[in-house]
Amino acid sequence: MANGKRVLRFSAILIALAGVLVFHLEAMGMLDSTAEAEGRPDVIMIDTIARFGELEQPAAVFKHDVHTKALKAQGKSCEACHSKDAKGNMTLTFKGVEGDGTSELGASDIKKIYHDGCITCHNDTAEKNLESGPAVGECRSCHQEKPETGVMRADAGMDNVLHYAHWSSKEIPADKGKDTNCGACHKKSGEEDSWRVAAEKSGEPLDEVFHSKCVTCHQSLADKKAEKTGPVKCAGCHGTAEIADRKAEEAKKLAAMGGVLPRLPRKQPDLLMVMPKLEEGAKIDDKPSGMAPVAFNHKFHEENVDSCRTCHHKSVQACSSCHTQLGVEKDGVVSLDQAMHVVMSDRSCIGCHAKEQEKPECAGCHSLRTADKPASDASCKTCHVTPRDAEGNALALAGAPKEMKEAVAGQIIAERPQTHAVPAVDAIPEFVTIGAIADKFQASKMPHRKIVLKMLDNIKDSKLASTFHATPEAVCGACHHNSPATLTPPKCSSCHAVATDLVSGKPGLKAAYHGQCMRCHTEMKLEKPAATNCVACHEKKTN
Amino acid sequence: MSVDNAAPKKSFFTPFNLIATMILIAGVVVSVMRFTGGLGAVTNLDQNNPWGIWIGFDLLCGVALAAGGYTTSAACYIFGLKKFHAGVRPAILTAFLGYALVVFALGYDVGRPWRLPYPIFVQQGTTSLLFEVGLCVMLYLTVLFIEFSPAALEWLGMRKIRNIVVKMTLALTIFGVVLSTLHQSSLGALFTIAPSKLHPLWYSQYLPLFFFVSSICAGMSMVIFEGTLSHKPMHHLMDAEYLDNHDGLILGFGKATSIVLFGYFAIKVIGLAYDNNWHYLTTGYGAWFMVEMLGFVALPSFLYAIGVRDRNITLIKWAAGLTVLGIVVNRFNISMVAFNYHLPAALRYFPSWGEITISLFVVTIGVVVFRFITTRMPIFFEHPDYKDEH
Amino acid sequence: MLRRTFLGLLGAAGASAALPKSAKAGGHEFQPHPDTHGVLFDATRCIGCRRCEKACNEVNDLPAPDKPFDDLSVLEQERRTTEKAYTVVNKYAGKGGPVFRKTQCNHCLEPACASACFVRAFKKLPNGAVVYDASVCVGCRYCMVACPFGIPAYEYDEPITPRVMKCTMCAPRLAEGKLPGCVEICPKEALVYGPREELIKVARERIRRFPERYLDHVYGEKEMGGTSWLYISGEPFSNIGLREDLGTKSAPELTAGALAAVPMVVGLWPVVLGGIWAVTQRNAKIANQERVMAVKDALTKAGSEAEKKLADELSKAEVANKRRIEVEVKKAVEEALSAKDDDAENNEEES
Repeated sequence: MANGKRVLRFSAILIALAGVLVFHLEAMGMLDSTAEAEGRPDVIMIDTIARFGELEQPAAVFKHDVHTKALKAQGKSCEACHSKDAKGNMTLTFKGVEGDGTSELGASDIKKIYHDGCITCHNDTAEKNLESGPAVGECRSCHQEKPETGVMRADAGMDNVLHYAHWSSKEIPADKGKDTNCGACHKKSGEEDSWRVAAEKSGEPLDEVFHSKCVTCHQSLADKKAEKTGPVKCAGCHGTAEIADRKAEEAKKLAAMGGVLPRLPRKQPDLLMVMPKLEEGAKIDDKPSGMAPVAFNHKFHEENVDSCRTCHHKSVQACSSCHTQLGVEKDGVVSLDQAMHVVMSDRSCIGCHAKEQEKPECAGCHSLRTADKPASDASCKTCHVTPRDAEGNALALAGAPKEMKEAVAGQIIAERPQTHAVPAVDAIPEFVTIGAIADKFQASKMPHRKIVLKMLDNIKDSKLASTFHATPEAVCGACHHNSPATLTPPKCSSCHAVATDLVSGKPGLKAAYHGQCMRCHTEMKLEKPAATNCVACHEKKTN
Repeated sequence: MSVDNAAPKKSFFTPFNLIATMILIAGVVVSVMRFTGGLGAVTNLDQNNPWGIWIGFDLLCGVALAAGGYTTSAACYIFGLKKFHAGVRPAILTAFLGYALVVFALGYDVGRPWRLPYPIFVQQGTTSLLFEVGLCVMLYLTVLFIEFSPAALEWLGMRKIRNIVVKMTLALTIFGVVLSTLHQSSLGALFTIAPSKLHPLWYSQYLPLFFFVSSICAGMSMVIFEGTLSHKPMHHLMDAEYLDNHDGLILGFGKATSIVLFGYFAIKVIGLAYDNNWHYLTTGYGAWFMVEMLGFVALPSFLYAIGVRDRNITLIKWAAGLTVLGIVVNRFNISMVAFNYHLPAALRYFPSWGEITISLFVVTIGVVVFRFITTRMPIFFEHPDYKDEH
Repeated sequence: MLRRTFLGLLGAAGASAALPKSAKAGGHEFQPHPDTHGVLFDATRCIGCRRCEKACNEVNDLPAPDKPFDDLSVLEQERRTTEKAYTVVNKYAGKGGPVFRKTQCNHCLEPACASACFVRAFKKLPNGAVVYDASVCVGCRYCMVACPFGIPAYEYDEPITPRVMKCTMCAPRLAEGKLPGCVEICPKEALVYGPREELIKVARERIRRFPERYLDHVYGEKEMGGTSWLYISGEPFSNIGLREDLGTKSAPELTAGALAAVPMVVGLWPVVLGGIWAVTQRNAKIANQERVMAVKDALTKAGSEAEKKLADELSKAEVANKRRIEVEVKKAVEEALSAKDDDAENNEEES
């Protein structure tokens, strides 16, 4: 009988265990399936001691805004948690674990600083009968295995307009003896500048530098009750909604200024020649090596990119000061040739221009071009033009003074086509009748001229197109591909057979027509006619 | 009709007979619908779920639970455990009926049942595991028929043929075990072709082994379970040898099942480890897998062990019931619950009433025929003429 | 599939026939037939016009659909192949607008359906098509369980002669030198028919020429051991309804282990079981002999003991008897003597 009881008890435990497992695991499964909790920009996962080894507890979830608000309510300042360095810059990290101090601190020290700091304050707050945070023993309230709120921070970003808001601001005082205020943030105003403290504090994570500088400055302006100041809350710079708001406001302001930002007072060149740097000891009139230099309209590009950093990275200086001539690659810095031509890079000339071609008015033609087909030799000459003097002799500019280069660049650029080359309207066939599948449908009467003129109209304001589509025939080449640019290209059926050619992969005539038309329509975001609407192009055959 | 001989005094309208008659009538109705309207008329099968409970229960469970035949005869004739002798005939009969009904039920499930002999006699798809199943089931059904025939022959009084058959016992038993090993395992192997459809917790390259080992547990538990069920209504038919040995048989099988179940649990865990599927345990399917493994494998193994140690026949019988249920759960999981796990809920299968009716119909036929045979032929007792033969 | 026959005929005791064949098939290398043809589907070209569905319906004489083929609203719901539609086009959300994919039998190089069929109703033809023979089909639907792509469909509403229905790659048309119906009609050559090897080259070439348009993968080249139908796409394949977790093992490889075990079981089990039987038999025999001997011993022992006891008893009884006789004799003598005295007394009195 005693045994029977034991068996019963054991079975009950086993069944209960299984039951608990079911519900427990089901619940976990449910959690997995639900969408990720909405993230907040002010959530900071404190895992400072993670660098010492594996964490005992999951990172502590810290909501910055909640604390800022609570401290404000109690009349406390940022300094309750953040200390200031000798220059009055607030440190990003928590009081006690900041900057240089950390190297001497071990994991247990840092843990103690956080625990003491947080919990003491929580206790004090609780004693005042105010809403407070977790106290001793409530480990899981901070160290959450699966945090309820996630981190969602957008990149702050400093684009041209935001930059303008800073350098034109009355709140930021001008540098001594100057009418610009660059020095407030940058090391040396005007010249080879970079983020001012970057060099000072090299080795320190950049985000700490940014936070310390930006937030301290914004806060001090706020304390001074300045007319306009930047955000001090996390969301101010990192909140998706806040960024969108700011952009909208900026766009409004820009529109009020006539859509053009004042130029950055930085003495940057208007025009320049992109060419490899002069080798040590070379003379001014040394024979130029490599490709002909490229005349570059710096001013125009400035107006058409987000910020200096769109092209300049690390620091703002001449490309050739780091990127050297082909074959002289050093310290992992790519050669000048690559820096300018790599298609996959957003920063290279070609890469950025390729991005530009993804606009609907360009993509219709350009998406039809294959990656393996190199740009023609002619297109090299669009940029690489040998500078010549009045007599037509090649000029050596390697060691020429800046002003001379600028003048030559201006001359070359002026010679570039300013408007798109347009073929004579009469030279464009008005209609093209396509009867390849005339057995099933009526022949399609394509309004060829209308299409071409519309396409040309779409790109008439594009300087890129004007420069690169140098001849009137260029625009024909998108559809009439693989044949030399001409106003009288061969018929499609000259190359495309009835069915696919498996050896060349060339599509059959029907597919070639459909492929060309439909892809172009898709890429140009033309909703009508739908690709599946046969009768929009081919009238139904009635016989 | 089936009990008139056994219980002449009782009225025909016993609860059993009433329910059985109702099921049989419903079964006939559904059968007519099935063979006039097609599978679509009575089943919930669709293009994504070609196999339902007629495969999951009638075939997979039917074959597994009929494994008592080969386990008992192997224990008695090969392992020389003579105390199981009295249990052999009921087990063989159950197995024979089980397999016959499996084939009968397949007649409902396959599209053209009259072509069932095709794979063996017309065109052999030897690369198919289903071919292996079909061939083995056919051969084994023959073997079981021969193994069972002495009982019928004794009843009919055909002594000569009966004696010849009895001499073949050993060969038949070995052949039966070989065939059972093959088709029990290949029923599991059927699913090895579809790793993309069966949930990883149930899919394994070792499925054939899992099916074979679990069929041993199923067979032995079924002998215990079914002996328990038939004990009361058939008590008057059982002779002294059967009754004397019954408890011994239960204890012996209980001990063996406990060990085999434990082994089964172990190889399932090894299979899980081999495929490194541990992380699935934290999902909903994982929980259900744990229920199957703990509640229907580990628990009965433990209950069996306790029951044998304490010579607690009641507990062993409960454990047997749990094991039988566990096998059904396992076969259902593999053929239905964890099958097509990747499909959205709306596309999953759930049996229709028609399917359930036919499954009940088949089981009822089995019980009725079992009663018919056991009340007439020497199953639970030895024929008086052949008493001194061993 | 014949080349891959593992088992041979497992006849009444067909283990011996199975062994050599399974040894030959032991290497799992498989080269598709050199003439295997297929179709390359390009998801970047498909516009979802459903003309392939229409053509398929017409060339295969399938029943008319509920909604006409130019009704594109059916694309809003994901569909699968059925007994009335060998091919369907589905619409999926892509990063740059809708993407379409045609579904039909992929005509695997080593078809799961053919490997699963126990009457060999499915055949892989040398030209690549996997075709079905309804004249032997039993209707077990194991092919539907086995197919990793969920293609074969069954005539559930057919009571007497249900068939399994699926794309035949238009094998009858191919035999006439025509293209498959869907390939012929496709307005964009989203479908290209040709030798499989060539198609792979074409696919690779397209990917090379438009690297930003395609993912660098030809679906079907390796999946499930390779299929005759190949796919290229700009969307991840799992986003357009093609499972990427199928692995590269073909269906026969998946079941090879289980099938290879069959001859082993057939060969080994009787030996092992016979051995066990022999051992238990011998054990039983020895036990029996020992028991008989023991009984005999016991009997003889008991017999001699009994004799001895009997003898003892007898001798004891004898002694007792003797003693009793002696006592009786003595008694009788005494009685006799006393009687003589009485007589003498009486006689004295009488005389």
